[in-house]
Amino acid sequence: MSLILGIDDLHLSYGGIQALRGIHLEVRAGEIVCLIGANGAGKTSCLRAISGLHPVHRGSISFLGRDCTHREAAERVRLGLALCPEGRMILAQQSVEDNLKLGAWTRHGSRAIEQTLQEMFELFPRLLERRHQLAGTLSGGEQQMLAMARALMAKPRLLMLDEPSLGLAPLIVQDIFTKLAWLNKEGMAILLVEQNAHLALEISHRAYVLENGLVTLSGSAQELSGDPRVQEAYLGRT
Amino acid sequence: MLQILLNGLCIGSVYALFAIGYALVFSLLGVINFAHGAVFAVGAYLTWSLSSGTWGGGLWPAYTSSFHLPFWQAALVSALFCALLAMGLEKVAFAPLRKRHAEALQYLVSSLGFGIFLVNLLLLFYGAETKNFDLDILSFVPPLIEWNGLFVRGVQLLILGVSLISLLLILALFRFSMAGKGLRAVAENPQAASLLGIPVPRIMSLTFAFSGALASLAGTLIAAGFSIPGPHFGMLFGLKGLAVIVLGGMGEVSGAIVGGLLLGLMEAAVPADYSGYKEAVGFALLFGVLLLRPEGLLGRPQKEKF
Amino acid sequence: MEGNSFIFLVVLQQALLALSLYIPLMGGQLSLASPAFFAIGGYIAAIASAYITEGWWPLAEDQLYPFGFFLVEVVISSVLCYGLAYAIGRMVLRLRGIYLALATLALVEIVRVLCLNLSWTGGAIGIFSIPQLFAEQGDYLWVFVPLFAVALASVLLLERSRLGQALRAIREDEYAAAAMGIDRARCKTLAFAWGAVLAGITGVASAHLLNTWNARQGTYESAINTLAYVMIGGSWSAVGASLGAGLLAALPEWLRPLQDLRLIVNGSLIVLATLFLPRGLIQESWFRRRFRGLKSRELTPLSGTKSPRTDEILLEVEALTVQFGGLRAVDKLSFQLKRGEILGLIGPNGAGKTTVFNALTGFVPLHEGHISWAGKAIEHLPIHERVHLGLARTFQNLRLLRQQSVLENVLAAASALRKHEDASEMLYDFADEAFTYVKLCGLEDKIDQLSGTLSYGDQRRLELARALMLRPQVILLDEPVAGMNPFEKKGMQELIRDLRDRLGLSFVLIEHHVPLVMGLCDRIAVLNFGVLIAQGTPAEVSQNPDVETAYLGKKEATP
Repeated sequence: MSLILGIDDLHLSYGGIQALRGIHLEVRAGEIVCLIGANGAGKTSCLRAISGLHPVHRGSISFLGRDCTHREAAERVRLGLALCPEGRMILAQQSVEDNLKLGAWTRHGSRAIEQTLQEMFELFPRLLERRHQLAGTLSGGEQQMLAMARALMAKPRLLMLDEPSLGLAPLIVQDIFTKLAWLNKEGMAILLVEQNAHLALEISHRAYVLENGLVTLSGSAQELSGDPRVQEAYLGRT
Repeated sequence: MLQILLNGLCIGSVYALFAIGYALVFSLLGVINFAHGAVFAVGAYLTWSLSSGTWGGGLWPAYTSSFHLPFWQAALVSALFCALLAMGLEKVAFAPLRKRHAEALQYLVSSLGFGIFLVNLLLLFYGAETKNFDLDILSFVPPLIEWNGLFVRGVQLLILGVSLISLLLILALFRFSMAGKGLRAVAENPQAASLLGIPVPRIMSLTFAFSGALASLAGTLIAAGFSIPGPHFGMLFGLKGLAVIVLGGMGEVSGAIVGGLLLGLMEAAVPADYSGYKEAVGFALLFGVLLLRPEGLLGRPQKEKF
Repeated sequence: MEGNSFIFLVVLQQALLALSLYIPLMGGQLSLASPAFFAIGGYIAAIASAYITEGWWPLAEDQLYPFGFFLVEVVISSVLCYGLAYAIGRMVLRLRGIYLALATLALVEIVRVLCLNLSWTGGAIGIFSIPQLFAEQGDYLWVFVPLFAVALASVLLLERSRLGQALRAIREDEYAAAAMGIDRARCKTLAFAWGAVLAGITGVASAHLLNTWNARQGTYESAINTLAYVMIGGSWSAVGASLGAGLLAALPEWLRPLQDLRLIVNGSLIVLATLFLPRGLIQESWFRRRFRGLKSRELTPLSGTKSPRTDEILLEVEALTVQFGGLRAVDKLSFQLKRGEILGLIGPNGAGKTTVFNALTGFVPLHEGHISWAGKAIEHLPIHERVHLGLARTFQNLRLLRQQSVLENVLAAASALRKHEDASEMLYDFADEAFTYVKLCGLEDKIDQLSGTLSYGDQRRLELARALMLRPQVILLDEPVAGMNPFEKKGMQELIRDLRDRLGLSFVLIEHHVPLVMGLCDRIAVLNFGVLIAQGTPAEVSQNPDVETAYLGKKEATP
């Protein structure tokens, strides 16, 4: 399987804190990979580094065979890397439809973009209902869907999601994860950071455990679910 | 009565033209650029020198060169230069602050320093005497227009016209084009915008460049229509410009026009006996508006999330 | 000697003006009104001394003006400036940030133009021949040095007092300050008024020093320059602001030899300083106090009886309705909270749960309905007064004072405590009590750590510790375990239960983590689209079919 994303010896610090101290991880084509760990372990910092929102001072990031370690965020999007950030970051003052169209900023061809838009509305019917509403008036679950749809509008090769279940009711979270599984079956590679380790491991192929800025465990999702250390710390079983 | 109205609109359009560039930077980047007034002055002086061929006059001795350009070309070159100057200002005074998430006050102070620097550079080079444009420079505009007993200077109509056209262009860009929506995305959340693939640093540079060009154009027209009283005239406008955009509502570029015209009308309406109080009228108005409606006339109230 | 003493006088005068800008700035108020009060002070001195020397106490050619009269002028100026500033402050301090700055600039201009045009201020010419206090210019140092020393000492004392800490909290996060029971309007107005008084006194002294006074003494440009110098000198420390500003303001005098280049140098220095010295030359962290040898105290439970749970109704909500434009965020909600109870508030995202908290605490106005505390209606009370009654809250999005340490965050909540018999004005006397709460929440090893650098779980614990400092009876917890791992979640659950069992505190809890809610709460209320759809014990609620449809869905795997 070809390598979509390769991270090697990644170091990141901010405000005097060393958030990442030499991370190594990979995502291959057609996989769902998840990163689990406590808050403050460095999961969000990892995604921010990969997407270009935060500079790294050591290590490398390669995407689709190209070195991206120091490229601007906007460039990485153009290469096919999309992030659904923590807190969703939708544009509250613009309409749902405009938010989606802006997601396709890096693409050309209005007909192709229009077609993708229709696909998104099929996948997320709630967004179709609210297409002309201001994005800020949507509920939390709807905003998460909007953030995902917006990321997908760019037709990315890798979709990254930072804590998609945060602050959402269990029912909505199930819906979102079902859609993620479907997208993956259609061929999308996904990198998922999740606090809800149970759900994350259920849906992923492989997983990494992050602790204090380092990868302490890695393997297939099944292996990790069965690992007693993971069970105790992250699955709440003793 | 109508003459006062007309006078007010003319004075007001001067303020409005100055304020548009100010408002543009604030609405897109959320920062007050106190150096706007300095760039305005640079634009005026440069156009003057390019069109009249006269340079220097301060510590730098005055000399006349045989090179001069027709008015519009001089204005264009000046606008281009000021666009570059504003981009430089952004790189030096603003971008480093953004990198470390400085508080809003820092931008103010940093741009103020830059402004002081530029103004005094002009002072050194040109000296403090008034500079006038040659009268035949603006010969394409009728000097005085009369209509039904009302008088207005041709150049003032020109200023009003240019303000309105620039405003309409900017508004059209923001509301109807995809590029405009991208700009609004940058204004709302630069991180989100960069995740969409929008080249945020480049957009910020371009915004400054555009505001610099507008400042230069404003300076040129006002200097040509009136005179250049000295390098500080831009900074004096700066304060009034700030009042204008607050009056009109800081998040809205159209607020610059509304605020400017309103201020002009208020100043024109002061009876001659109290002309000493004219300067205070604008500020009394500002004070009143802030107390009653802090978001300005066209602004939207800020919502806080708990 | 003449030239040198003049420079010192300029330094001190500018340092005083910087302090008068710094005092409101401590509360986050960017007030540029000092030149107006400086001018007013000077005019008072000029007019009063003219009045006195014409009628009562005529002065001979070289006679000096009696010091006693100077003090009278100081008193008059102080009273006038305080009153004027207090009145204006009440009106204007609702404005934030740049709007306040502009309103104060407008004030300066209005005062200047008035002074320029009125006859008793001498119009454009101003007032001449103001009597001299001393024969030599250098002797004025006898006024300015003590004045500055007293002013600086007062400000330093203020910083360490409860009012100072309240101002600091307001500056960093106004809404967090409100949630800590701080009366923001009163604090801001006091700071504004004292700044004005200082500017006025400086004006009185300067008028005598300069011998003439006119409208050019109070221009907006001087305010903006003072602001620039304060930002560079150190906008977060009194010493930095005053000394830094004083020295920088005198810089053009020292650079006189450079003549025309000096303002260019000035401008460049401002730019360079802002770029390379973000919080100014003098960092407040140099003066940060480290806490040592703190002891935790015994805490007394709230209710006298053995059992923490009683039938006393603490909080009662009736038909609460909150509306935003056309949207009904909360629709006719009614519930009660008894003493010692832990009530859970659950529901899908957007159901209105945080809005309920906002309405209960006063952050958001209610449209209809009633909120009573121990039988008394509180829906019209401002935020800080509800806190004083005993109602505290935490925030979903965390509102900590990120630039302050763990202990300082908790201490900030002491700044608004009502006076008890033994309550002191100095904040650090509450340090032991603050430490007690910090230890209770498991953060005793991190008391000096900056709260912004804590892990997410620790930050949530800190918000709880801060709420405890308010000595509340009810705490509203908004998603207290969001972002914590299961181990931390268990710890928090035990802590909340412990606080209820040992201290008799009551809680209302918003949470999405169903096992915690089911395991901890005595009763649960379920909200959907702003409407209460179910209420009862955890067992009742989890079997309610409406709740399952709206919210629970497939059960999360439990051990």
